[in-house]
This record gives sequence, structure tokens and C-alpha cells, in this order.
Amino acid sequence: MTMGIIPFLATALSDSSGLALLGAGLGAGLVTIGAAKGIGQLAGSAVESQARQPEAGGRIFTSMIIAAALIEGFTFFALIICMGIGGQVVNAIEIAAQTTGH
Amino acid sequence: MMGNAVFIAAGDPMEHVLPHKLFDLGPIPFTNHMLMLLVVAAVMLVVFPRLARNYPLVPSGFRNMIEAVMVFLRTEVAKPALHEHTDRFLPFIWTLFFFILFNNLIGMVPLDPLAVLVLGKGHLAGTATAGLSVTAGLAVVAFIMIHVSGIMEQYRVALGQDRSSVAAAFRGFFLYWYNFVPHIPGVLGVILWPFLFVLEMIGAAVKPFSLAVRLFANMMAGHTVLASLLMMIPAIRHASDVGIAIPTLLGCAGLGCLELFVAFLQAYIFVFLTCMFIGAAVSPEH
Repeated sequence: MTMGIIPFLATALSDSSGLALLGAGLGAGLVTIGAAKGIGQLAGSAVESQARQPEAGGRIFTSMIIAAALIEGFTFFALIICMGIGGQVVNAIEIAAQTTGH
Repeated sequence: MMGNAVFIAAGDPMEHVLPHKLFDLGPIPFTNHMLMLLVVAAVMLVVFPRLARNYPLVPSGFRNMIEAVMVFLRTEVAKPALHEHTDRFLPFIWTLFFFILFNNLIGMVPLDPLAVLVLGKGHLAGTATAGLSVTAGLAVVAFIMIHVSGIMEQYRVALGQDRSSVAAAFRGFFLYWYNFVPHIPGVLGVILWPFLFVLEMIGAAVKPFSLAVRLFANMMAGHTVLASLLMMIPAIRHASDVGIAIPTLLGCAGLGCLELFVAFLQAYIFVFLTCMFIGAAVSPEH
């Protein structure tokens, strides 16, 4: 069984459009997990510090918004890379389908 | 870049975010993003001088709102970053903020269906800042502002040290790049300087790039999500028409409110980061 998986891997790696789409999808999901964890921790700390010192609430809120926007910045950058991979792969699939006359 | 990725069965949600060519200006295609930039520039050129003329002691109405925003930008954004150079850069900061803000907001106004109703021609309007070319142009402007003002500041300091203007220009130019890296005393500083300089160069290129991509991605993602959500209505048309339309439209209205907030926030973030970079280039390097 372990030897039988090698030809399957060989065909999977040679026709890699499915793997590329899988990579793009997994990448987008992982990026979302990382960003959500980071911003969630940020929001938790901000709310806790606002509870400890309500007078500093405005400044803490401003810093929280700025940090969240910065984190979302590179999140969207990674998401656009994933979308680009998906678009390229779909284009390649369409071109391949046209040339083989499907 | 997104190509022909065809979504469910009812059309492309990317269609109203990508730029569409209207006509050819010689070798350059004139897109609807460019048209929107011109429209926003015309609006700003008409509105702001009229606001500033015959300014009363106590403003009211629209003037008051604009003045509140401008004072906020001066005291909370520009002054903490720029200290004594605030008044030099404030016109640029204000213009940048209102330009980005109006471009973001004009994408939320449904000018495109109105244009189809009145003029019969589709894809005339859109969000200019949802195009990477437009935000890259804004980032290039910020990049030029940051480094040119840093070099001019070093030139001014060198002029103040009683040097001739040509010598001051050369010395200012050299000192600006030399002061990119923080000073480390001793032999370690001499060894580390090339590596830290390469790192700072990469940082200087990446910072405006991240400014551009952040604004572009936030604007494009908002409109794409709205379009994808609205596509649920034609996608389930054989099952139910009104039943799916009402929750979808309510959801889109809520997302539209979020996008209005994101429009203001992204304009603020762009301007805030540009202020910080200009402040870092102008102040503690000498």
C-alpha cells in the first residue's frame, strides 16, 4: 500500500493544478486563522485595559483601531496572493481545456 | 490578475471592481478609475475654496464638520509625528486624506446604475482606490514626499552650518542616507552598517508598498464581498425570489455600513502612516 501511493503522487505532482488550488485555499484559511487570532488577542487586551482604567479609554481605542488596521493590511495582502493563484490556475485550466478541445 | 474566474452561474463579482476602458487617449487607455479620480478632484477643487472663502469666526454646518476633521488631523495625527514641521506638511496631509476619503466614499454611492439609467452606458463609475494602480500612485506620492523632505531637511541643516549651497546639497544628500541606520558606536557599528543599510533600504521600499496594498485590498475586498453576497439572489432564483432577497439585502445594508467605516478608517490609516514616515525622515535623523 505504501508503494502504491508513489505513482499516485507522481501523477498528482505532474498535473499540479489541483494541488495549486488546494494550496491557495489552504493558504487563505491559514491567513484568516492567524489574523483572527492576532486581532482577537489585541481586542481582548484593549478591552481589559479599558476596564482597568476607563479614563484612558479613548487612547486605548485609537491604538486598538490602528493596530487592527495594520494587521489586516498584510492579511489582505496574503489573501490577494491566494486569489491571484486561484485566478491563474483557473485561467490555465481553461486554456488547457480549450487546446485539448473539450 | 483575477482573470476569468467564473463564479456561481450568474456573473462575475469582480466585474464592478476591475477597471474598464472607456476610450483610448493615444497609447493610454482611459479607464473609469481615471474618470472617478478626475470627478473627485473636480469636486474637491469646487467645494474646498468655497468653504474657505469668507470664513466666519464660528463656523456652522458643513464647514464645521470639515473643520472638525481638519483639526483632528492636525492635533492627533500630524502634531505627535511631525512636532515643529507640522505646518509645512499640513496642506499635503489634508489633501491626501480628503482625496482618499472622497474616492472611497464615491464608490459607495451607486453612480453606476444611475449612469446606466441616464446615459445608457455601463461601467462608467467605480471606486478608484479599489484599483492597485491608483493606490500605487498615491504610495509613490507618499514615497517622494518622505524622502525628498528628508533630504531637504538635511540640506537645510547643512546650510545652517555655513556651507555653500552646492556643498550643502551634497552633504545633505549623503547625510540623509547615512543617517538611515541608527548609530552604533565602535567597530561593531562599522561592521553592521552595510547589513543594516540593506535592511533599511528594503524597509523603505516595503513601507509605501504596504500602504498601497492595504488601501487597495480593503476597498476591493469590501465591494467584492458585497457583490458575492448579492449573487445569492440570482443563484437561487429557481427556488425562491423574494424570500432570499430580503435577508440578503439586509445583510448587504449592514455590510455597507461596515464599508463606510472602513472607508474612513483606511483613509485615516494611510495618512497616519505617511505622517509617521515623514516624521521619522525629517526629525530624529539629525
